[in-house]
Amino acid sequence: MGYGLKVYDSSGKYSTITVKIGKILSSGSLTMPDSLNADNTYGEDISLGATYNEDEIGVIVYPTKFVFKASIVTVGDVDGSDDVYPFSWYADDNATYYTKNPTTGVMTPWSAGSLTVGSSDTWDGIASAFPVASWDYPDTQTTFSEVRIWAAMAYIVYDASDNALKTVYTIGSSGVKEVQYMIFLRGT
Amino acid sequence: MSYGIKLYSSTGETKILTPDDGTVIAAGSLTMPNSLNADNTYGVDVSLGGTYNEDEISVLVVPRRPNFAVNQSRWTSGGTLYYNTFYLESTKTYYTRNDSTGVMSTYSAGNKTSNQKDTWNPVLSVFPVAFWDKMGNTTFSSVRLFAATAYLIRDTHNDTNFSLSGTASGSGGVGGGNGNTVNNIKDGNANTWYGQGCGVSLGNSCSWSYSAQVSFSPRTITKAELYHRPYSILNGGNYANGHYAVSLYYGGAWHEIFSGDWSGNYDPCPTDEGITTYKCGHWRGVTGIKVAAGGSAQARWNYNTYSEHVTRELRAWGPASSNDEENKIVYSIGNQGIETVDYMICRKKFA
Repeated sequence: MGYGLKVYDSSGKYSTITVKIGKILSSGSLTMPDSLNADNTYGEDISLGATYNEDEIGVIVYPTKFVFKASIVTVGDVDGSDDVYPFSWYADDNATYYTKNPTTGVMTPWSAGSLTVGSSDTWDGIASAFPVASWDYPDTQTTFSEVRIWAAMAYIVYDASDNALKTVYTIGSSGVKEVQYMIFLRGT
Repeated sequence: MSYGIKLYSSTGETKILTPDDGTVIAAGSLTMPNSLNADNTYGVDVSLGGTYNEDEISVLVVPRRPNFAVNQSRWTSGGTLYYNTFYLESTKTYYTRNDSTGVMSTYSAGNKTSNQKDTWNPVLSVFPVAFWDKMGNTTFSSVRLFAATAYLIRDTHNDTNFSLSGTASGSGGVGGGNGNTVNNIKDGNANTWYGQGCGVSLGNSCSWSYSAQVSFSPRTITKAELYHRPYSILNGGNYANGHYAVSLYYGGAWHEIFSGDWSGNYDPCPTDEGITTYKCGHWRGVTGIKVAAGGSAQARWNYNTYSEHVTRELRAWGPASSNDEENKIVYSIGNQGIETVDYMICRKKFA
């Protein structure tokens, strides 16, 4: 390599520092809010102190503290016996869930069914739940002076009234309460 | 920028090296232990070689080699349909975790004992997690790397008989065993009762009916249960019969949950106690349970006939705990959870 800055230690080992060296712009822990922003998107904005192109920065976010919201129903009386407990999981109609537009980031409240006997549209089963966290930005955005940190508990549900599988989310103290994140500037 | 070292590449790119540029303090893979630390926290400490404030370092941890511990029960319906529920495995070790302090507490999974709901811990989902466990600290000379397999589970409690704390009322019946009171159907004492009946001879006929109910604050009911004694004696009479029905009150109306009829010489509990009849389900917003019964008898010649029904206990079972009280996150560790992690610890500025 014909350029760069060589730095030696006392044993003679060295590193060559070049323009490709990266930089951590911001990192730390973040408490996630309990409500949406005014534009119905969600998350916390971290200022970068300057404006960067999308391909100049990288963001890693992962959830560290989380809870989940779900109801459960024991079917009971299986094959003539009520002394065993097969269960099914359902969305909790006392919890606030949201769907998310992946293109715009806008979140829309989604109401879980009330598990009403004889009303099949009110039984929204859950296949799985897990915490998620990421850098969130609209597909149309390409430059950034701040980074939106997004996190939630995700649920794969069957929306019975809409006859569709969906991913819905709970947020803040009902979902992902805290994340750790790192925003770094790639070497030029 | 008026300070720093400006570096050039052969293509003319520039970079100003300043004290704000970071460095990687530690990185690599490590094996996660199979047990907790002495203070009941969990994970591996990676030394930083100095003391740093929380905002001076950042940590990236990625779990590898995940293991999980669940078991599964297969249920059949009608002998042809099969469905499954996944449960925690009672022979494995799980922990809950205090998010603020990092302290882990052993969680004992139930062993799926018949007729004991709190020994069945269903699993909603399983996934690996790994992160820097700050354990409530703000300065660090080492970084605690935490990794485990996480389970979203139900810490199921046994159901409660809400009738016991409800208010009883009734009409048309008489009480026995503990005074003439309808409270006998919800006193937790199967030897007391409330009911009615009639008997006739010499070709006469008779009929009877009664109802009794227990009211309580809105509840989710998972099992309506009647401990009762239907009874009739036909002998050589023309008829002797009866009918009972149990209903739940929700949505502004009574809804019949189960019912039964009997006739002739009928005594399912000759020891003069009772039988249990029930139906399981999931009814929300229930504020009452009711039993209604009636019957008739007609003698022939000198053959006496008799019909009666008594309710010894009218039970409305359901969960006393909320979803939030029973939903839990538990973890398995080491060779039962996450065996290894990859990690990188960065300092934001040059030392």
